[in-house]
Amino acid sequence: MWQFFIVLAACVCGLQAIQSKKLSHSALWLAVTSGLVSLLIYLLGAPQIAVIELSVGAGVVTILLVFAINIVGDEQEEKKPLVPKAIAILVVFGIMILIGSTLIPVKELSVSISETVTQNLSEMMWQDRFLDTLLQIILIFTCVLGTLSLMEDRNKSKEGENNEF
Amino acid sequence: MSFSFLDMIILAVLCLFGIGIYALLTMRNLIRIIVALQLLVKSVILFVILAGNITGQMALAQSMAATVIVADTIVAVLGMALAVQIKRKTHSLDTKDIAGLRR
Repeated sequence: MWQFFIVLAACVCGLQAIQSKKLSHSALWLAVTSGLVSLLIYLLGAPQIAVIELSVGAGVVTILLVFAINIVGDEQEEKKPLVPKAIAILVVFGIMILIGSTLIPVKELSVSISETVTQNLSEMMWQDRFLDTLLQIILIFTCVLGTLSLMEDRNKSKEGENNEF
Repeated sequence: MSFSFLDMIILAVLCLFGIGIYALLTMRNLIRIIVALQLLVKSVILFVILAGNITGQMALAQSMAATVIVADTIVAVLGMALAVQIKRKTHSLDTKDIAGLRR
């Protein structure tokens, strides 16, 4: 039963992440949500992914979010939402019912422990899905280079070039 | 009526997904949209692990979840970099103002 409180806390923190007025508070609530989700992942029996989710979701992404919020500013004006809130809530409930009706029968597929495929994660990643792993490494490097070029302040670099002459 | 742990995980997946979709539909701030995407992806990761747990293929589910985490982080980081550049150019983070970049 105590797992229910973790689920409840994760949902409340997720709600706070989108409801809080300040963007920096949003980032912190998101980090807490990430921590609780990683706890749920650990309880489901995937400790490696729980650790990755905790370090990436609650660590790297939060630090980068706070960094970006520091640059763009924490102020936020109240503006009319793109879709009226009542319609958005209706759409969300429709989607939740649709997904829920698909997810709940999935439990029936539950297999016994003897049928489980015993394979190591590292074996799966470095042998069966080697190409995917390689692609992920390339993607990470591309992302780093792309971000560096995007984050560059063009005006400052132009000023620097002018000063040299 | 008692809820099992798997029921609770399905509840968490649905709630986080719903919150993410709601935020995507109603928010106009670029940083908030990134936060909403993060929430959506967290629910998806949770569901992938749940599927692995149910079908007994945890290694496959974990490797899939690792791929999703990498892709999600790349999207978030590039989104933040774009948001910073858009703020510098338009002095706003409103998605409606981005339409002006076409001119």
